[in-house]
Amino acid sequence: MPHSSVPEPHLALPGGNGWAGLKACLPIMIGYFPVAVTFGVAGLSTGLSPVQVVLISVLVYAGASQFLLLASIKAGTPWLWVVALCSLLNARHLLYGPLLSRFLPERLGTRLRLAFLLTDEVFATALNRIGPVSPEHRNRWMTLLGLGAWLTWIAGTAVGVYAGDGLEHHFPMLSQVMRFALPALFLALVCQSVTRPLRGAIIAALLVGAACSALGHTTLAILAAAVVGCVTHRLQSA
Amino acid sequence: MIGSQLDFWVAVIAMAVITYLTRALPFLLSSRSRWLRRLTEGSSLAALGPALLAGIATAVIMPDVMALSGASQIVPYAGGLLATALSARRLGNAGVAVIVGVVVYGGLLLVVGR
Repeated sequence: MPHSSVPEPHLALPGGNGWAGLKACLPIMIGYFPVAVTFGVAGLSTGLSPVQVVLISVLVYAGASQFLLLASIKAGTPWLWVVALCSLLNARHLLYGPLLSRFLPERLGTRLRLAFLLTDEVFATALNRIGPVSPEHRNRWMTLLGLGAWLTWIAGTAVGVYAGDGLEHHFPMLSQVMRFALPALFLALVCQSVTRPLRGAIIAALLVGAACSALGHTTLAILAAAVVGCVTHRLQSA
Repeated sequence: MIGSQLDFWVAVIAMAVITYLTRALPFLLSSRSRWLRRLTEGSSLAALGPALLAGIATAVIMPDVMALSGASQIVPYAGGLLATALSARRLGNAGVAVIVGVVVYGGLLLVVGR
């Protein structure tokens, strides 16, 4: 694991430690729900039917790509462009599989099934927390982590489609507070990743990522931070 | 343009397939792949996971930070992040740290944001 602060053992939980995947998913669920509600509301406003909006969340299941699709519908962008942009947005996912590979069951079918559920948040949580889970429970742990996030995303979209306007109107502050869960989740995971050998690499990655993000290039920020982090680590190790 | 129903569904299906492929293709790499071995051993790529996390964190947090205006927004956001970071380091549990951060953020919003 990339960090030394080992998360608490899950062995005491009923039903074996695989069930802890659902517990680990809780911060993701809190963070996903309001964003998905927003997607549901925004989807309806572009003229799509409720079923179409929910099906996008079921099939695509990638927040940035989904909002890109809505923006493209509004702007009338050619769909080939939309698909090309989606590919660029998702390029970072290519790095997630190899990093998680050593923790997952060897069976290819299982890995390909889990791959559908591998969002940024699921990857980040798994990378930090699956290490202490015993190998025989990792399949269930990852499945529950991923399914919890996916079903929350779908449920949030459905709520947004059918009741989003009312929710935003009656509980605007609750929605705002819940949205804070995603920034908090990533910050917590980064803090837990910091070890003495990796401190310089992580600080360099944060600085470069922050600079790119501040300029509005969030996808570039992720890739640039990854490259700079690796280069810094190599220079420090040399 | 994404105008007709057919175009819309073609775009949605294409996006779904591409998204899935970017997540699934790396698993098709042989476990003996040199690249995969370098990722799992202590090379310069050992920093890739934490650096990616750092990059994603900035991509999520910075747009929020850039949109903040006035103490009524800045104080709750900064306080929530600080509480999250301290909890994560002290407690070693990301889930609890998130809940602490959200509660502090909400509390400060109520106090300062009025």
